[in-house]
Amino acid sequence: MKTVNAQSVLQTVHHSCPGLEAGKFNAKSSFRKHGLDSMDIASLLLALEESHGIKIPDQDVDKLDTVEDIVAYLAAR
Amino acid sequence: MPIQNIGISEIATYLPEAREANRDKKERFGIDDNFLNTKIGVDFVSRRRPDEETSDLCVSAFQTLERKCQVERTKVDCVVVVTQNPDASGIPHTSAIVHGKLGLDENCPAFDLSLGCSGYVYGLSVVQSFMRDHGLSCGLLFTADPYSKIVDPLDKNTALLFGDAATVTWLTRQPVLMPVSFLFGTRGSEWNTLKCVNHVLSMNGRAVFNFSAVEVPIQIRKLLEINGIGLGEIDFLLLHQGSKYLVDTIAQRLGLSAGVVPSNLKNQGNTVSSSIPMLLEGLVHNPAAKRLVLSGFGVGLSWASSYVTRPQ
Repeated sequence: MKTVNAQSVLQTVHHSCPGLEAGKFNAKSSFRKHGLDSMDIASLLLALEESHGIKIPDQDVDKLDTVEDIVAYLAAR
Repeated sequence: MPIQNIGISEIATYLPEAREANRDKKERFGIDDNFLNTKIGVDFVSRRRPDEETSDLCVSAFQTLERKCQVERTKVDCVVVVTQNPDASGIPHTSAIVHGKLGLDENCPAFDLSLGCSGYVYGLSVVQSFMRDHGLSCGLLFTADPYSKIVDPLDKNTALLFGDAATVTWLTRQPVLMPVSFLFGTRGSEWNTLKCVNHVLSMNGRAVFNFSAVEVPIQIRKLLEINGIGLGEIDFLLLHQGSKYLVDTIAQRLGLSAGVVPSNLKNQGNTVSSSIPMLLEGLVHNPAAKRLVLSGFGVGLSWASSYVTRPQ
């Protein structure tokens, strides 16, 4: 599995959601509070699934609202 | 064995006049203009009249076809309707009702194909093969899948997207466009992703997005490889109009520009199996459209792509 850290996940976030202002979004920022909608999050999670070779089930999606959440989730997998 | 001489001569559309404005649904669903414009891409969803049955949508499309070209009812020898929202209970099949309403010859076969967003591409292959194998020469492939029959107006996943429409494709032995190659796919293990429960549509949007974003580019690349064509050589890629975000995502994954991947969502929405022929209609007589790829994907999960060329 690809190395998991906040930097790599942030890169994926910014690549998936190019409208996100880099300077105002960090590892603790809430996706939803920064205006990412369901399609943005679906796209982000797909990118993470493809880069890390995993599947993220629907029931886990609501738990993943920050980069830190994702890093912890992927590390536990 | 190469597919010989049966191809597309003309396409016609029937789009009901009534519309629901998505801007009127913003408060209900807690969405803004940015979401509507950049993700959904639909300003208005088209709606059939309450007294318009699926067969009536087909008949209206055929009446438009009659005004556009020389199709003669007496010569029609094949009728296929792609629908999963047939007239009434589905018995009899909607194509039989269309056959009756058009007064077609009793020697003419008529049958339905139960497919959704992949249905036009599957339908092209089925009708082309059927006509070729049985020596037929004047076929009508209808798409008519009015999801207004099953969409819950309170469901954000579906109420912003689906519109009603019908198309008819006239297939003859003097085609203007020729489907030359097809690929098909089914993922029955994910049948639960898009379904109708108690006559109400239920859709797992994330699952549909993931499947489409991953599998459609794979199938298109494989189709082009089989036909010895590069991505840069196709003139138009006509994708099923699932949503703006989905079309944009697939186009981006293939590295294709908006000019090659047209869209027609804004004024009617996702018209299910009608979305591809509605796009194709405008290109039938466009000489710049020499190499096209059609790709439909959705409920089933089912997907299909076709490479279509313009004979010299």
